[in-house]
Order: sequence, then structure tokens, then C-alpha cells
Amino acid sequence: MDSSESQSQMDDQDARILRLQNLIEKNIEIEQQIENNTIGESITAIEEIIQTANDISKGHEDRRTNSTELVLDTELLRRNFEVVGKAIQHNTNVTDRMVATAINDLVFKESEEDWDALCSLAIQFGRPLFTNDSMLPFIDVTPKVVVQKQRAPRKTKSQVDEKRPEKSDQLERKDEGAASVTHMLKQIRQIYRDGNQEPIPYFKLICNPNNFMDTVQNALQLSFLVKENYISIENGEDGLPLVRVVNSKSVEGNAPSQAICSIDVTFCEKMVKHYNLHEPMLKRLPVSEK
Amino acid sequence: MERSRRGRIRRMPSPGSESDGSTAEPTRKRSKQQFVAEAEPDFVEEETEKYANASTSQTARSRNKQARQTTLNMSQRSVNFNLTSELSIPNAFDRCGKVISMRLTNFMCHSNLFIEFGPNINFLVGNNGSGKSAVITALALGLTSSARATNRASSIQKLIKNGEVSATISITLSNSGLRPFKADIFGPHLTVVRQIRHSSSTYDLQDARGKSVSKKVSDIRRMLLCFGINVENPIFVLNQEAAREFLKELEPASNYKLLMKATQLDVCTSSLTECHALRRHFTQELEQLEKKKEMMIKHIAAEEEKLSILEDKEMVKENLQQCKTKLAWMAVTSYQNELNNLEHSIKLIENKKASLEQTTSKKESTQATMNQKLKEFEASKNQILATQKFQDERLKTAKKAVQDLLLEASQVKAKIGNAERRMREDQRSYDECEKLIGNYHADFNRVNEQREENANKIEMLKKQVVKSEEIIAQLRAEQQEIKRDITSVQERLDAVKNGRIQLHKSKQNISWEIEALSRNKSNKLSVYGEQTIQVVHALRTQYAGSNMHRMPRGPLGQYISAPNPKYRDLIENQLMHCLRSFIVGSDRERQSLRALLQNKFQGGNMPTIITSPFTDRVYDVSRNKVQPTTPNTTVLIDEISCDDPVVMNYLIDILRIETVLVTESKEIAEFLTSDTENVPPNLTRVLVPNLGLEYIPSPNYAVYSTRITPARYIQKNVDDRIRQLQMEQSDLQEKEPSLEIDYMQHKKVLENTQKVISQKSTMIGQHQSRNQKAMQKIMELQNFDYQELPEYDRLKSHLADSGEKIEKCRLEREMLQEKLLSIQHRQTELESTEAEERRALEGINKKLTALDTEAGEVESKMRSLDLHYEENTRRFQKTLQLERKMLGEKETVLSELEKARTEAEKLGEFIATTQTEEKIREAISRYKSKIKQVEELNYNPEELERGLAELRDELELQSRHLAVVDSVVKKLRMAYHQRAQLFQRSRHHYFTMVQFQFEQALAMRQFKVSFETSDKEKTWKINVFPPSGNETSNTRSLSGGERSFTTVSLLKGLWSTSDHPFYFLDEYDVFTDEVNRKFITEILIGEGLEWLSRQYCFLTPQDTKVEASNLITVHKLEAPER
Repeated sequence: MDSSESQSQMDDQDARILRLQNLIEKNIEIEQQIENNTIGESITAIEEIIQTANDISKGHEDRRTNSTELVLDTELLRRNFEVVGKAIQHNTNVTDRMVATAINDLVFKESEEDWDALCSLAIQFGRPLFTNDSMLPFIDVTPKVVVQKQRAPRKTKSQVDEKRPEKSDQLERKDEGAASVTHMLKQIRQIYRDGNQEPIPYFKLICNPNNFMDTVQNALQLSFLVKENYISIENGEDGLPLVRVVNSKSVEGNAPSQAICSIDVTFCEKMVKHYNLHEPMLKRLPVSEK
Repeated sequence: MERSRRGRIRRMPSPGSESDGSTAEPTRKRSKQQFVAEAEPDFVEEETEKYANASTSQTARSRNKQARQTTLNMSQRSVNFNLTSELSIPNAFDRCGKVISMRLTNFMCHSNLFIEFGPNINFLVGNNGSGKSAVITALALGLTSSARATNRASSIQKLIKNGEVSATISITLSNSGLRPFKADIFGPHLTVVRQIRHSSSTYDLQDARGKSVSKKVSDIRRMLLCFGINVENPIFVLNQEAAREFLKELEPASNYKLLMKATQLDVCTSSLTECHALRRHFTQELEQLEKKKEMMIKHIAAEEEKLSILEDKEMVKENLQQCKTKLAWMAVTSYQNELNNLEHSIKLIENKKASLEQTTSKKESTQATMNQKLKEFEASKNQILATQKFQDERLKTAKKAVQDLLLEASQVKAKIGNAERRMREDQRSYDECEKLIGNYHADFNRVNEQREENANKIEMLKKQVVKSEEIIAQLRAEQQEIKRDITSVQERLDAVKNGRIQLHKSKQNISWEIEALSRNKSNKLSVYGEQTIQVVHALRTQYAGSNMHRMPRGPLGQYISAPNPKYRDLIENQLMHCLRSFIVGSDRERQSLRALLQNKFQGGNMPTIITSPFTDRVYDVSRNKVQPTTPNTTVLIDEISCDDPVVMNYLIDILRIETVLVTESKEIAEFLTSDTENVPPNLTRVLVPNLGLEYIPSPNYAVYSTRITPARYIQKNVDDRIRQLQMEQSDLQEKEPSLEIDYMQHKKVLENTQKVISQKSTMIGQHQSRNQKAMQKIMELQNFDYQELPEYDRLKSHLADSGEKIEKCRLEREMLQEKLLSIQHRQTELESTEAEERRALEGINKKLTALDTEAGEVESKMRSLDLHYEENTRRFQKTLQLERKMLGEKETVLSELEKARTEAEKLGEFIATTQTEEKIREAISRYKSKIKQVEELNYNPEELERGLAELRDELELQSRHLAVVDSVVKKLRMAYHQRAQLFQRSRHHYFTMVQFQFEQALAMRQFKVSFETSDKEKTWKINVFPPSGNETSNTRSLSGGERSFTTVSLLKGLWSTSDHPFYFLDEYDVFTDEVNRKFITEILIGEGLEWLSRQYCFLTPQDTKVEASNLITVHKLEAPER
């Protein structure tokens, strides 16, 4: 029902947009024919367009989805103003065309070119300008020397091979990004399930006794899981943090907080000894070759 | 490439369309290659080659036509196949304006790049520098954007690849869908080609067949308007610079600007603003049209006036005729009146003529009578004149006699005056003599008595003066004696006074000295004064150490002492002058010591400085030492002990103390010095201390007496000196009262003496003043002027003489008076005679005057008769002429009257009028001028009618024109207001939609947001609160990923209120991490899947997991060549 109503609205809006577009085309045609028609004809046509536009705008609804209709409507109004202005100017004032026609009639008579007639008419309204003759000897007028350039040899344009971007079926890096985070989440859930729903010590989980950089990577990716509320971290009895997988039932009890801790190689070794680790609990995804 | 095509064939449900595309592409490639070849030659000189290329291109185009015909046939077949087999599947590019493909040649880093875009979602992936952004830049430039708007270069020429001459951008847009741009003419797709050279840039619009349709930018813009494409809007084509700008700041002002551009309301705003400006222009145009219409109306009014003038011409002529008739009859009337006046004048002239004739006829008779009267008057006049002469002579004689008598009388009067004056003087002298004689005896007695009395007084006064002078001499002698005494008394008083003062000073000095010694009892030098102590201290400080032996010695008294107390006073008296002195060794030390002493002894009383050589041993004077030969006699040098050899040597050198003997008795001293035989060798003096005597040995034997004062310097104990001073002070105190008593006594004596002297001076003064007064009296009496009395005899004789003189004068006066009386009598007689003569003369004159008067009257009458005659004759002639003239005029007027009457009868019947002739003439002239004016205009009524009709038609046309313009302007104004209101409502609506969509997008990840919108200030403030942050955070405190997520959400909200064929988004995942990038990618894909009618293209350098599908296309660009 809603989709059908929206569809009908879209159809109506599209219809109005088409009509506005057609009116703009008519406006352009009127503008092109403005010099051939009389002012009455032009303005009558513009009035018809205005009337039609007003009729279209009556169907306007305040809850439209986009402003295309409004843009076209204002554009049409602006063009109407411009066309009316041109029509008035063309019929009431002297235009360049009229001036050109008058000059042609005055100068070109019976296939003879007589510019003196125009000069004799214009000189009546002219005024002489003062020229200081004493400055003339100081003017150094040297004709410009035109050096003709030598003809350059024509360069042959070599044809360049066409290059196209490669189209691939999928775009993915399995060892980076969201895939890695997802993989870690799966492992944690498995460890949590195997541990009989017991919380997992945080530092035991992230430490890699063989590679410190992996420890840092684990800490970073684990933070995303915490941020997205897949897991939660709480303080244990011994003061060290514990990791727990979040269930839908216990989501309400969790609250955001901020914890800061520093991890370095010495600290990592200490944790390894504390928890007696030999192998890391989390394993990274295998690197896939492109 | 083959694999991908085969894969696509397998997946595509319609293999026919794919085959159609594959067959079309080679054709396009060939045509574009040829086009590129055509664009290469740009040298004007190579015209022949250009023609050759043109012919080649024509050949190529003919081939293209054949190929395209084949293509069209194949496409038609495929369409038919699709329609029959799968009707429900829509076409891929089903909207106008979507980008189908793009080819870039020598543009930025691409030499020849061709990209085919998918219709819905496109991912363009490539490393940095592979040319992803160049695609967006080319898209913007190809669709009429400016290079500056792309933020990649300031001019379009800088985007040409290095080393190349020109660049080409070719963009193919879809033209099938809802709003096609002349699809029936141009076909299903259009291609915009922009050629960029170093000096120019040109456009070319090609249809689906590759044919050039138009090279105008306006046509391309029309196409873009039809498609609704706006590449400069950042939410449609967001390049990386714009992305960084939004991600970096998110300022309220830029947010509002972005919001307006995103919803395309800024385009509406600019359109409405332009409409408003044009409307004001229309108002001015309407005013001009109104003015033009008014001018036309005035012109028509002028033409109508001209026409009305022509119509009035006939009536004016009729009025003119009537006026002429009136004028003619008025002339007749005036002639008749004139005739009547002439007849009246003629009658008057005739009467005057008769009177003049009567006057001229009596002239001769009257003139003869007048002449006779004149002759008679002349004879009488001559007689009277003779009588007048005689009488006149007689009168003159009488006057002369009278005048002579008057002169004589005046002389007599003068003499009488002199006689009276002399008599008056003699009388006064006589009176005085009488007075003197009467008072002579009394005055004489009084004078004698007074004389005796004065003589007695003088004698008494002289005696008194002598006595006074004696007394004065005596008093003065006494005064001189007293003065001599007072001098001695004054001297004694002064002596006592001085002694008293000196005693007081000595007492004070002793007290000061005691005080000083008391302060410095421990120091032996205190007896020499405090200044000396300071000097010695300074010298010791200055000459400390190794220079001690060179220190000046002083005062000398401190080195000298007397072992025998008896001779202590004697020694001090002998050495008195040098005990306070200082001895120095050289002049330089002398100068320095002098400066020191001057500094210390500022008040004067400075010790003397002695220059003497410094030695270490005392002189050996044993050879020159005198030997005592008598008992109780010692040598002075033996009585003096001195610690310093320098001082001792000085005493030996200067005082020769080794040659002086000291003895106790006088006899011994006389024995040693009186006789030459008894004098021991080397003896110079012998001193007797107790007697104060000094003996000089013979041969210069002499004895001197000296006073030995108590010693004050050569002492061993300061306390002894203090006691001595105290004893002296007590002695002085005992003396003081006696001196005081003596002083008082002497003072009283002096005062008494002075008093006596003053008294005597007073008495002398009194006597002198008295004597002076007496002397003055004596002088006054001696100089007394007694009244002088003349002798009695002289008085009597004088009295007699005066009496005689008086008598003489009296007699003389009487004689003169008698003479005067006779003269006066004679004068009286002569005056009466003169009066009679005068009266007679006056009578004669009266007669003569009467005759003259009568003669004058007669002459005047005769003259008047002559004048009147001439005048009357002239008048008579004039009257005759006038009568003749009047008769002629009468005949003329009669003839003219007849003529005028005839003419008037011809013009018309008689018309009575009350107007004056001037008014009628004015009317005639006015009517004539009107007629003349109309004739001069040479207007044809028919032509005027026709011109007026044309003008009215033109006015009607202008009125209609004005009405049309006015109506259209009003309609436009109403439309403008409607759109303005609609714009405001829409703005609010779209802002609300954007905010709602934005909020919904952020809520997907539990972000909160609040807005503050202000249309006046044009600001849109966004406050985003991430779930992990504080409530007070704002957009600037967001992390990179959060910021990117916010930006993408904002874009999603903005996209909801706009509709555009394509959306290009560059660098959308800048500063994002893996998790946020995944979310953002999912959001964008969801947006693309929601709006299938839109084409999306996302550019990113980083890889994200995206699977290509029917709607999603992934493009990988090659890495750049390094």
C-alpha cells in the first residue's frame, strides 16, 4: 500500500517534471524567435507559459523527496523574466541590429560604399581634442621588425596503446581488516566455550611468547570487539582484567569505560611466566597470496 | 580480458545485449582514433595536408556509416529477441545522464585511458598516483566545469600531460529514460568531447552515431539542464580536496553552505535573486513606456489642435467680412460728423472776420490826433526844463554856504573843548594847593614829634644792643672753658670704658682657654690651641713610617723644657716669638705645610714657618761658649734642654743662646759689662731675671728694662696652666666692680657738663635773638621816610598862578561861545533859504514828471495802434485763408462721404455697433493673422485627418503594448512571490529531511547528534556525540574513523533530498580503520542498492572486501610507472 502510494507520487512528480522541462524548451524557442515575432506575440506566449507553470505548481506538495522540481520551476521563472526583458528591449529601445541596419542603409547605397556620409553626419556631434604638438618630436616611432620563424619539422604522432582498468570478480584482503577481526572473535568464542563459560584472562589471551608484534596486533583487534560490544572486560580477583563473551541477556549491565595500560617486552615476558604460556592462544589468519 | 568477457556472458541473463556491446565497441574505437588523427594538424601553413586529411576522414566516415548500419541492424535484432524472450528485464542504462564510458587522452597522467562504468555501483581502486582522481577531474571539466573549480589546477592548460600538445576528454552519457534530450534525433546516448590546447579549449557534442551535432557551450548546458547534471555540486562530484575540507573542519558556516548546495537550494536562490533584479529593471521599462505614451498623447493633442484650426478657418473669414462692413459704415459716420464740425467752424470764422474789418478802418484818424498831443507836450516840457535849471543853480549856492558855516562851527567847538580842558586842569591844581595850605601846620607838628620820638628809640635800642653783646661775650667765654673741661672728661670716660671692654675680653679669652684646656687635659699640646693639635696629628699621619725623620718640627715649644723652675719664665720670654713656629727642611715642604696651616687656621693667627736644615746632631759650641767667671751665674744654653737637635740648632743659630749669661744680682751684671777688662770672651748679653734687666757689655754698654710675664707654654703639666688662668680670672673679677663704679661716676660728670653747656648755649641764643630784633628796629627807624612838606611861599605863589590861568581860560571860553552862537544864527537863516529853494525845485520836478507821464502814455497808445493794426491785418488775412480752406475741405468731405456711403452699401446693410474703431481693427488684424497662419501651414485637411488616424492607431498600439507588458510583469511578480514562499517552505522541509536522515544513519552505531540552524546567520552547527565519548564533545574531538563515519552519514542524508544521474565520491575512506571502513562500505552499497536509478562511483586506494555482482562493478587501475 505504501509502495503503491509512493509510486503514484513519483509518477505525478515525474509528470510535472516533464511538463516543466517542456515549458523550458518552449521558453528557449520563444527566446530564439523573439526578433521575428512582435512583442505582443512573444509576451502572450510567455503569459501562457506562466499560466501553465502556475497550474503545475498548484499540484505542489510540501513533502517532496527531492528539489528537482523546485529547481526547474525557479529556472523556468528566471528564463521567463529574461525573455520578457529581451522582448521589451527589442521593441522599445534601439538595439545593435537596428544600429547596424541604419549604418548599412547610410553607407551602402546602390552597391557603392560611402563612409564619408557617415563621417559627415557624425562630425557634427564630435568635439576636437587638444594635442600638444611640441611633444611630437620626442615620440620615437620605430617600425616593429617582424622576424619570420623557421618552419619546424612536422612531428609524427605515435599511437599509444589503450589501457583499461582490470575488472575483478571480488576485492578482498583476507589477512587484514574486518576478516581478521571476525576470525579473532570466532577463536575467542571457541576458547570461551571450551573453558566451560569461564572468563579468560586478558593478558593470557593477547600474549604471544614468540612474537611481540602479534601481541600488539591482538590487543588492537581485541579493542574493536570490545568497542562493538561483542566481548566485555572486567577486573578479576587478582586485579588483572578478564575477558567474557557478551550475551544478549547481560548486555544491559555493561557500561562504557576507559582503561589505559602499557605493554612492553618486559611486561609481556612477565605475563608469559605468570601464566606459564608456551603457545599463543590466538592465531592469525594465514596470509593469502593475491 | 577474454576471461572477464566470458564470465560476464555466463552470468548475464541476456547474452544478446552483451554481444551487441562487444560488436559496437570496435566501431567506436576506430572512429575515435580517426578523430584523434584529425585533431593533430594545427598548423595553418599546411593547407594541402589538411585537405588530404579531410579527404581521408571523409573516406573513413563513409566506412563508419556502413559499419554503423550493420550495428543498428544487429541491435534491432537483439532488441526483438529480448522483447520476445525476457520482457520484464529493464535496460541497464535506463536513465538520462548516466555516464556510460569515458576516454582520456594525454590528460594528466593518462596517455590513453578508457573506462566503461556500470549502471549502478562502481568501485575504482588503485594505488596512490595511479590516476583515480584524474577521472573525477576529467568528468568535471568535460561537463563545462572550470579548472579552478576542480581544485587541481588554476588553468585548464596545466592539466595537459607533460610533453604533449593537447589533451582530449570524451564522456558518453545515456540519453534514454524519463527526460531525454532530443532522443528521436540524437539517439540513445550522447558524447561530449572537449579538446584542450595550450591556447584554447573547444567543445563538440556528438550523437549516438558519432556525428557532430553542435559546438556551442550553450547547447551542452541545455543538455545538462535537461539531464539535471550539476558537476560543481560537491555532493554529486566530491573530489579529494573537498573531502579533506569537510572532514577537517565541519564548520557551521561551511555546513550551511554545503546543505544549500546539496539540496540545490542555492541554485533556486540565485534564480530568484536574478528574477528580483530583472523585476526592478521591468519597473524602469514600464516607466519609460508610460513616458513614451504621454509623449504620444501630447503629439496627438497637437495634431488635433492643428485640425481644429483648419476647421475654424471658414468661421474666421465670416467674422472678418462682418468687421469690414462695420468699419466701412463707421467711416461714413465719422465723415458726417466731420462735416458738421466744419460748418460750425465756418460760422465762427465769418463772425471774427467782420470784427477785424471794423478795427482796421479807424487807424489813420486816431494816429493824427495823437501826433498833435505830442507836439503840445513837447513845447511845455521845454519851458519847464529852463526853469528847472535856474532853480537848481540857486539851490547849489545855498547848500555851499550852509556847508561853509558848518565847517567853521566845528572849528570853534574844538577850541572851546581845549580851553575847557586847560581850565579843568588848572582848577584841580588850585584845589590841591588850597588843601595843602590848610593842612600845613598840623602835619609839620606831627612830623617833628615823630622825629624826636624815633631818635629816642634809636638811642635806647643801641644801648640795649651794647649790653646784649657784652653778655654774649661773657657767656661764650664761659662756654669755651666748659668745653675744654668736657674734652678731658670725655677722654677719661673713654679710657675707663676701653679698660672695661678689655677686661671683659680678657676674661672671656681666659674662660675660653680654660675650657679648651679642660677638654684636652691629657694632651700637652693643648696649650698651643686645638688647631695646633690637629696640625700635628695630620703631620704625623702624613710623615708616618720611614719619613718620620723628615717631618716638620713644631710647635717648637713642645721640644723645649726648663729644668730649673726659677728660669722657666725667663726662658719663655726669651723664646716667645718662636715657640708656636714650625721648622721645615725645604721649600716644597714649606708650601705643603703652609697649605695645611691655612686649612686649619682659617680664622687667622697662623704660626710662622721657619726654613732650617735638618741635622742629626747638636752643634758643638764649646769653642764659642761664654764661661761664667762669677758665682751665681750660668750660661742660658745650660738652662735649656731640647729633645730634637733640629730645634736646638735653630736656637743656637738665631738666638745665640750660648753667648748669654744669667745672673741673680745686679752688681754682678754691672761688673761683667761696665768695664771692658771684665767682659769675658764671647759674651753678648747678661740677664737678671728677678729685676727684669738686660745688660749689653761694653764698648756698647747699655741697660734695658724688660717685663717678664708668667710662662704659659713651657710647662710640664696642663693642670698648672689651668690653675694659673683661674687665678688671673679671679683677679680680673675683683677689678671689674671698681672699674664699673668709676665708669658710672665719669658718665655722670660728663652728663652734667654737657647739660651746663647746653644751658649756656640756650642763653646765648636768646640774647642773640633779642639783639637781632633790636638791630632790626634801629634800621627800621633809621630808614623811616618822613613826609616831605613844601615851603609855604611856594605854595602861595603856585596858588596865585593857578587862579590866573583859570580866569584866562574862562574868558577865552566865553568869547568862543559867543562866536559859536553867531555862527549858528547865520546857519539857521541859510538853512531856511535852502529849504525854500528845495521846495521850489521839487514843484518844478513834479510838473516835469507829470508831463513826461502824459507824453509816455500818448506814445504808448500810438505804438499800440501800430501793433494792433499789423496784427489785425495778419489775422484778417489768415481768416480769409482759413475760410477758403474750410470751404475746400467741406467739398472734399462731401465727396468722400458719398464714396464711403456707396462702398458701404456695396458691402452690406448698415450695422449698428457700440465697439470702438480700435477694437474693430484689432479684431480684423487678429483674423487676418489667423488666416495667414493657416495659409502658411499649407495643411491639407485630408492629410491631417489621415496622420491623426495613424497617430491614434500608434497610440492604441502603444497602449496595448503597455497593457501587455504591465499584465505580464504583474503575473511574473505574482509568480515570483509564490515561488519565494514555496522556496522558504521547501527549505525548512529539506533541512528537516536531511537532519532526520543524518540522525537515522548515525543511530546505526548509537551515535547521537544535535543541530542548531540559523537562516539569518547562515550557519548549521552539528554536535555529534559518539557512544564512547563524553557528552560535551563536538565534531572536532571526534577520531578519524568517527569523523569519516559522520561524514558519510551526512552525505547519505544529503543524498536523500536530491536526485542526480550519477554520484562520484573520492577518498571516502580517508583516515578510517578496518572496522569503520567496513561499515562505511556497507552503508554506501546499501545506498546504491536502494536507489537503482542512480549511478554511484567510489574511488579508494585501499582494498575492502567487495564482491562484484550484477549491480556492483570493480575497476582496478594499474600502478603508476615509477
